[in-house]
Amino acid sequence: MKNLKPNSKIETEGLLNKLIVGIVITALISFLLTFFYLPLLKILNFALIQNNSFTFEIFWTTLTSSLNLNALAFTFIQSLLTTLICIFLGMPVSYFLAKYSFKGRKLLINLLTVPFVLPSIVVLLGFIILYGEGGIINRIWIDITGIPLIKLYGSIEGIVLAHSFYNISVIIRMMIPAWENVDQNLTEISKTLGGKNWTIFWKIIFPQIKNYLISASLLIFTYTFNSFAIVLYLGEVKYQTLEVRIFKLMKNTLNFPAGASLGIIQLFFNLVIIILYIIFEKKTRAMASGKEKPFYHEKIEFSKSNWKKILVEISLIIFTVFIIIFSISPMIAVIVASFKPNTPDGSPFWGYMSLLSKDYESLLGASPLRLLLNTLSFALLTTLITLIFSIGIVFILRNRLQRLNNYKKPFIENIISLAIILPMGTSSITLAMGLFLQLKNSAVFNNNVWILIVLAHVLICIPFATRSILSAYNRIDMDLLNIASTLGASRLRIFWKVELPMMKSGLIVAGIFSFAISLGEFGATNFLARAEYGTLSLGISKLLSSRTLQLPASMASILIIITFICFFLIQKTGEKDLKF
Amino acid sequence: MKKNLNFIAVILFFLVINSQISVRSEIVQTEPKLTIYTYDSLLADPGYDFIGAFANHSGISKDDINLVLMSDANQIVTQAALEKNNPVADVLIGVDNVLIHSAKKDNLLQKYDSPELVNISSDLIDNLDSEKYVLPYDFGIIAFYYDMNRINLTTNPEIANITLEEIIEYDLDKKLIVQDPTLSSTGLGYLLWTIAVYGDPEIGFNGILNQDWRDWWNATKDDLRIAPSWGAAFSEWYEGEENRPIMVSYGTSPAYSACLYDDTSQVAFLSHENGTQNGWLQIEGIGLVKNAPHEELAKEFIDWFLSKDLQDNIAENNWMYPANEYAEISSTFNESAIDPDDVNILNSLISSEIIGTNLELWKEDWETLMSSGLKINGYISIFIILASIGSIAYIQKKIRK
Repeated sequence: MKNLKPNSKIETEGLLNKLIVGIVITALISFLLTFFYLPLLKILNFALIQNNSFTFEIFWTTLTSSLNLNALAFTFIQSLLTTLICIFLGMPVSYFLAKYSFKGRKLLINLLTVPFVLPSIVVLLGFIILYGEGGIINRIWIDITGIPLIKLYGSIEGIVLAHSFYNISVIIRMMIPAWENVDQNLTEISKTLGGKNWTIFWKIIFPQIKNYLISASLLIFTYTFNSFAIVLYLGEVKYQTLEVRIFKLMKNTLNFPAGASLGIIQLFFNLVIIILYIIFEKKTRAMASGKEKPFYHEKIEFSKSNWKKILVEISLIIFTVFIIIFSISPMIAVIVASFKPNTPDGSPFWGYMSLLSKDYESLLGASPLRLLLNTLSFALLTTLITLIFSIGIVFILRNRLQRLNNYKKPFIENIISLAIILPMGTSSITLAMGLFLQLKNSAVFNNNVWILIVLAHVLICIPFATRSILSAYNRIDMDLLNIASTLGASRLRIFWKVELPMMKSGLIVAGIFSFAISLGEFGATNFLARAEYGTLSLGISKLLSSRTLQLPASMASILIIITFICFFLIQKTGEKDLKF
Repeated sequence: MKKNLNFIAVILFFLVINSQISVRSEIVQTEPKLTIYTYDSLLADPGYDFIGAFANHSGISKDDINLVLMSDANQIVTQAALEKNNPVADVLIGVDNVLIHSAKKDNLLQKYDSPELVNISSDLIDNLDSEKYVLPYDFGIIAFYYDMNRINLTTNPEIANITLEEIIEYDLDKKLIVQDPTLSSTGLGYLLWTIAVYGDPEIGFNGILNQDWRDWWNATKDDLRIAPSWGAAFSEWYEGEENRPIMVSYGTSPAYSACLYDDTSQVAFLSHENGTQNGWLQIEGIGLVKNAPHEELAKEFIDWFLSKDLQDNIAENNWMYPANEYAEISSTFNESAIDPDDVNILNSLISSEIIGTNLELWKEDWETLMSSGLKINGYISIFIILASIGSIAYIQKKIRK
């Protein structure tokens, strides 16, 4: 031991590093394999293999049936419409929020993000109260003009309205950094050179925000492309997305081959969109890096000299207020409904009191309190597991990054990001169906189904969490790492001592965001959960068929409030890292 | 490089082992003594703990009974069909007189002649399944269910003696919620109701009126509200905001509000073609799974489920008429519900062979009919115009450069 070389410690730590990478990769890939890729293969198996031989026959007959073609066309049309409307509604708001500073600005941004993770059942509840045939808006409109304004059910506009409500926050949140990154000097220069406002926008500003806009649009497109509950309820039978068709074929007519065929088509489109998204998201990162300039928000000022500016400001404010009302009113409608007594002499707090009672146990399969506890503990577990996996993913990517010498874009990174992000673009019905087919005979499914629920939530959360953590990681100064390395710190040591602390804000944001997503998750839980393992969002959907609106509305209000607190906490830690 | 290859090989090895272990280790089972598949609203409102009661009755522990609750009756058959070759369930509860056809087609059940059948009317048994693969435990008529506070005989006197045709004439379809027959058993019952009344010329089935059921749906499809499940329909119906005071439900539904909430403002009605009160009867049944792992206990459970012991609880927990003729029914229940004995049961018009061969075709026809004539062509043209404007602008830009 005397002639111990000075760098042998580093060598052992290097070995440890390799070992940890190995373990992390193994755990990660076997997790994804067992719970995502193998179930997926099982589904695909149904579509393409008949009597032990490979055939496209079922695939073709499914694809060419008029019902499915209609669904495909409608899926595209509603996604495109929603995307366009979200851009139209979200752009001015994001511009306003990026440019001006005022009290409560951040709070407002977070309030606008809450709808994104709300369970679809809650959204429907709010929408019916507001925009239904006899809802507030239509009643007022009928008083004025005699005819209803909005047809929520069985119409494209109803579905697009609900989808826009869900996704408008995506465009607002993703465009704010875009506006902040616009180079003010360039704009000033072209102004002095006599450029017209319109030309400046198209020639100078638009090229700078283009990539952000495209990646946000692609995200909205995928989310609406895979929409399920909203279309199932509001589309009646006239309008069906691919996801609804898959659900019907698989769950009710037991036509697995046909359902799986549609699943393949859906997966193909999602894959294309996600690859495009990864490309454009990289471009935005490349644009954002290297020009870390302080950005100052303007104060709202009404200077008398410039009436044009005042006009613009006022119209922006009015537009923003309109969007805020649009985003918040369904939630407020739900909260108001939770205080509206069922009977004339009922207590306004009856809904919240009943949460503690056992009156609804047999209908819900468990007491309301148990559902609340389930929801919270599933969300906590999901958060923990998601964080562990996400840190693992970042750890692997970072090793690749360093080995292949920093800024070169390694091929591996693309593959891994795709593998991680793919669950996001997979229909949750296909996902749940695959899990179900794979594990239906296992003891876990029969006795401890909560494990599967949590794992399904983890699959859903990982893409969001990983991207939030990576966003924080990418802001770390590479020089710091090089310095640490020259000073003799091992890779492992650098990770624990330098990188991890610097990613902290990203980690917290990723954790809270996963928590919020898991809280409101409906599709996969609905497919897997039974009796005592139900969650609040399942309870709400069950209670809607009972004779009181107050209790489900109270449950929904609790979800809304917890979600809002989550985003409030995100705001306090580091909202830059919140990635959809 | 070689070192790296070794490294990768080790990882791959772990990976394969690991994923296999994680899958295999889950197949170790703890063995229940009885497994029951049913839907989650069975005896649930306000609730009767039938598992606990059976545990008391038979002397086995409640933990030995594995009750699996599905979100609807369709799924019970789905799940059983998936496990056909290696059955897990012993008993299926909730297979009704329509679902029985798919269960029979998949050969999921075995015949069982329960001694309790002496207490059940033979009409009921024959209307569900004369071969006794499933045995009836409750029944109720599918009916229009409405709220008298919002619509009543004063505002709409026609509902006292209405026909399906008159529902269109009086614009009541604009106030009606039905369920999607491809997703809900009530919806399917209503679809069969319209088929039995109007007939289907494509298969030479006359029905009462010798017309085509598709005409009724074609005339109403833009006005009806279609909900994916009974529960969804009920919540839309219940929320006054929605302005839909009539829904397809059961003739026993008014009993629910009468018994539990002392509220008699909810009433049900049927259609009156040819002077009779016509309706479709839904009979729910319990069945013994073919090759059930615990056949003896399963039979004991079925006997008990049809006995007066349990059947006394059917009416006011499952809100249907109990199959056992000696089961207790309160007078409030009887007064507010539509008694199937007073109704011309349409089920007898359509033989089970006709249903068996045509059910899937009818559902498909219905779905195609409802989703045809989509107004999406207009939207497509908007996109084509937008796309062409965009590409022209792009080409111009290129040329200018």
